[in-house]
Amino acid sequence: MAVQPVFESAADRWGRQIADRREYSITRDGNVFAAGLADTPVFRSDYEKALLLRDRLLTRYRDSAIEEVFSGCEEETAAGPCFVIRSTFPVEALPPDPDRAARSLLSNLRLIPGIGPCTEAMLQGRGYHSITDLCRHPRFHGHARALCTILDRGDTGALLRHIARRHSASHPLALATSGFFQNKNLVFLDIETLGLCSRPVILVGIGRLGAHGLSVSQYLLRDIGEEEAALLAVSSHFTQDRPALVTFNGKSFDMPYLAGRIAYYGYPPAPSVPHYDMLHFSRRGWKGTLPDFRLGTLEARFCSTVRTDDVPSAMVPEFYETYMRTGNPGPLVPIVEHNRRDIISLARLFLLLREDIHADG
Amino acid sequence: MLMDDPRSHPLITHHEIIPGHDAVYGSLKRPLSDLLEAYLTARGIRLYTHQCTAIDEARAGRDVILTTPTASGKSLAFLLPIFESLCSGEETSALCLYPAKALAHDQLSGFRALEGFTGFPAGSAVYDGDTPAHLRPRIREESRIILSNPHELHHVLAWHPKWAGFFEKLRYVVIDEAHRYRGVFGTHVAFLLRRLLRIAERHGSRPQFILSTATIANPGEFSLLLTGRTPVVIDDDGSPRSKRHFLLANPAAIRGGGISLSRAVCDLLLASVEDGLQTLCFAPSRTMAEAIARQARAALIRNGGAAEAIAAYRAGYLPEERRALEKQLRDGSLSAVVSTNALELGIDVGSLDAVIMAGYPGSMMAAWQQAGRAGRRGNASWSVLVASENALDQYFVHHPESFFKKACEHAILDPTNPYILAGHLLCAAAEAPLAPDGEARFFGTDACDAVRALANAGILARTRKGWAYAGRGRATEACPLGPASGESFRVLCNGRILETLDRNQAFREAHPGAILLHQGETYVVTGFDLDNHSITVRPDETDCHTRAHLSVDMSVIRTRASRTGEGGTLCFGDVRIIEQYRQYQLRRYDTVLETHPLTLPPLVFTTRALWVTLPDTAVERLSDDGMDIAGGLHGAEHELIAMMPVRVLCDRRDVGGFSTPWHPDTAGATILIYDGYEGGIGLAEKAYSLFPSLAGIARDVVRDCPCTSGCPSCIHSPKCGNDNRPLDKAGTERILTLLAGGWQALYPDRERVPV
Repeated sequence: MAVQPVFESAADRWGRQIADRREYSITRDGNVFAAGLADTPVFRSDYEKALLLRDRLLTRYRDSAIEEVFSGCEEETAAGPCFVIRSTFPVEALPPDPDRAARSLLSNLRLIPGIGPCTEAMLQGRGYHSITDLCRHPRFHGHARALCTILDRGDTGALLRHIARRHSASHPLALATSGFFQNKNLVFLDIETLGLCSRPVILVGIGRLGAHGLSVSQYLLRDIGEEEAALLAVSSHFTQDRPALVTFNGKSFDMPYLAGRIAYYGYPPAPSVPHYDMLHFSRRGWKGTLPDFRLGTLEARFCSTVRTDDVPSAMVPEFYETYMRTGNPGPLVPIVEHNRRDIISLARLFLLLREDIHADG
Repeated sequence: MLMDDPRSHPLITHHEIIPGHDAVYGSLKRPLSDLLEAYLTARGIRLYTHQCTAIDEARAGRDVILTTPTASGKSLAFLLPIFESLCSGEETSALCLYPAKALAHDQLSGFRALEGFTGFPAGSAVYDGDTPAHLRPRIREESRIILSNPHELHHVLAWHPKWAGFFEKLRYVVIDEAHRYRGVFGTHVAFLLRRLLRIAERHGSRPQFILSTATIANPGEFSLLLTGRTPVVIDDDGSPRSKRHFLLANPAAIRGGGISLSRAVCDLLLASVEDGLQTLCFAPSRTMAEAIARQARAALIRNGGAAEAIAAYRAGYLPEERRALEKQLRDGSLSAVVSTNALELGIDVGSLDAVIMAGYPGSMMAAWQQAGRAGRRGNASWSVLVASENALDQYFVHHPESFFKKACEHAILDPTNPYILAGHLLCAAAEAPLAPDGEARFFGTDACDAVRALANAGILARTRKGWAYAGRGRATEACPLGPASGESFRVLCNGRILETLDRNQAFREAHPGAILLHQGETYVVTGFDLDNHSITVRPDETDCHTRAHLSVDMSVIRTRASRTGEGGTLCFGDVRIIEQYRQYQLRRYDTVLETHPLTLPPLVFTTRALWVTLPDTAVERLSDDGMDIAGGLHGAEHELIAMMPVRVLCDRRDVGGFSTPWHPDTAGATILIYDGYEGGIGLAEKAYSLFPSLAGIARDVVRDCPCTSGCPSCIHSPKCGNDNRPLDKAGTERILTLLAGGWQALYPDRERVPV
């Protein structure tokens, strides 16, 4: 059945209007001042490089099917199949040290309400060196015992909330609590989307530590219709016992975004799990020593990796749109690679900082 | 003394006395709770009939539209049912939409007062673009009454999961000042409300609407267009009204060629002040407001008075300045305020004794709202409309009965505009997956086609749950609640955005060299960047204005309705319009100072129009009688457009016109009137249904104008693309007479065109 021409023309107009929209601004190379002012700056040279890359990929992968380009497989979910690309990387991970984590926490008297720096010094002078000691204190025993109970119960969520109230969510003690999780229960997550809100997630990367290093599962949408299935597959990573989530800026972006998409398809919100946002810990740990706190900057500094043929995050939507429009999977290649690198760097950064905290503690 | 015997004043052409009436109190079908009764008693309030009807109907779960005048206690009519429901322990929440941020803030005190009295913690709060981020979560989660505006709601809907608690309970949607939602903006708001109902349904609620509006001719129809549901119309005003004197003044009628508008207004203002009346004067621009104030002060000083007794007022005053002015008015140290029409918009200086309007403010509704500023409780009030020289103003002074009898217009919007529909379907698909039929029960039967077209264009993507938005950028930002023609132009003054214009407006009012009027201030356009859609202006105080000349061509795409009669064939349908601005004139009043060429690309758009093709016999008779057919058609086109605002609430710039002795698509002499916005906004459609009566009014103006060959008071148009040439007044009158009687069988106001 033909569509009335007036609607073709309306759709065409909105199509043009939407194609004109970008959620980033191109700034002159080296214009750091303007780059700082723009919401999401992309330097002109990076922008032009990315466009060249896209065209190169379109030529190279012309007539290729997505399944030929990525060695992925289908995973069945209640909402139909989704496409997942699995890979493994050698990442060295020391085992967590829960006892040390517990010691760090218990030695911080200021976790008890009513204890500030003065009281802390006074209490230490009187021989109270840990929260366990305070369980005998005439005034603080109530709070001290309550906190010990939380610790014994292993309720890391409650601990994190407590630390955030007493100190801040990015306090090193918060990161120290990650020591209560076995490496295999850590879920590293990073998403790629069609925009900053209210649009589909096109790729969810999940990293898990195992015997062979870091296994990365990337749920890539072959078309937008697979988003619901991909969201369900991702949710399954959070349903087994005691997982903890590790992200980079996930508190502000990835998790609210995923929650929004899950609600979009009419599902109830997923139960919350302890969440370590490495952006906040990095900021606190390296304040004043780095020009900015993008994952790429941290990666270059601490993981000594340099990315080639990368797509700037802000340009991911138009790369994916090129795929949607042409069916040519070429532009997806750097998106998948970008996401995979983000997951690896995220895991490395986490492990590095977790060790640092313990070293400090 | 002006007010003792108004008719003796040379300027005054008509004196209408509108009798007042006493309060009519009513009683509710079921009494209010003791607590709410106590509140009314404490405030000394007895409910008027219209308030009782509104409360009864709202309690019965019906949608309501209240059209009673300002200060008739409309707010109470929705406050009471909301609080009754809250206090009785029902899980209720209410969303109140106001057209401007300032209005929401003004209204908050009413809600807070009831909260304070009843002790019910409704957490009434304003939630708009200015609400600090740290307060937002708490308002979303805890407030049961939220005051906001359509722009904010437009963005909020995509975040509905975060508002689940509020939307689940949503029972009342209050739309105050609903008459503001007409034309393009109204059409956007109509779709926004459908999106709201859709999201509410997803959260399991079906809110009822309570609307309030200024007086319009078609509250029921308007409400249906705006909300998609038929309301109970409540228009029996029970509030007391004092006697009102309404004077019409015509400076053009002064012997010896007339006097200027500002001079006439100044004379009347002084007369009014001398009579001891505190007076508010409305002028169309700041320059005129200041000129009037200046002249009036000078005259006061000559007569030994104090210049401080008259103040000029403009938009953009700081709250302190506003309060100082209000205080001076209250303590009587100020006798008169001269303001631009901007003051009408929600800024409250209280009521005064007299109102003088320099020129017809554009709509009957605005005229009565401005006049409504006069009238203190118990005293007679005075309102004076001083006619400018343009056709509409002159029509009213020559036909006072039409001003006082048909005291309101039809408010129009068009929920079938395919462009606006498609834009809002994108927003809806970003909020929740959209069912394959486009959810016709909310968006109309065209939604199905629109959704398929959007999917073909790759902006909507198919998912198991329905269509999902897959475009770049936020849907709500790609489709702002603004004009439909999309591509908006930013007007920058000293690096600051002054306003945004759609392409048509930008070409017409802000072309290179144009003098742009913004909130009564004048600016000159210094830069026009077509590629970047930015226009730079600088402030420039001038009494000149510019007029861009437009040439129009058209082609008929599809006829949707037509009827044939003695007047020829009258059609309504889709047309393609090609508009081009080729030159502009710099003018001081009516003197052309300079003419400059313009090199702007043509504007091509599809819209809806009515067109009439005259019978060949009538055309032949016209030329046999020595009349100029092109001049007659041209004059008729001007006059029909000039009279559109009498029946349909629009600005004459919202519609465009075209006439020709022969057109290939109609094979005859044709006059065409089209909506000036992509896709149409319902104006031509309404005019089609009212056409014979519209032509009748137009004919009366031409017939009654004392000029011999056409003047600005009749068939000259200020926006004519051909410099008002050719025009033939006799031919115009003949054609309009033919059209006025051409389709006797129509029942104009009952008819609705199937689109």
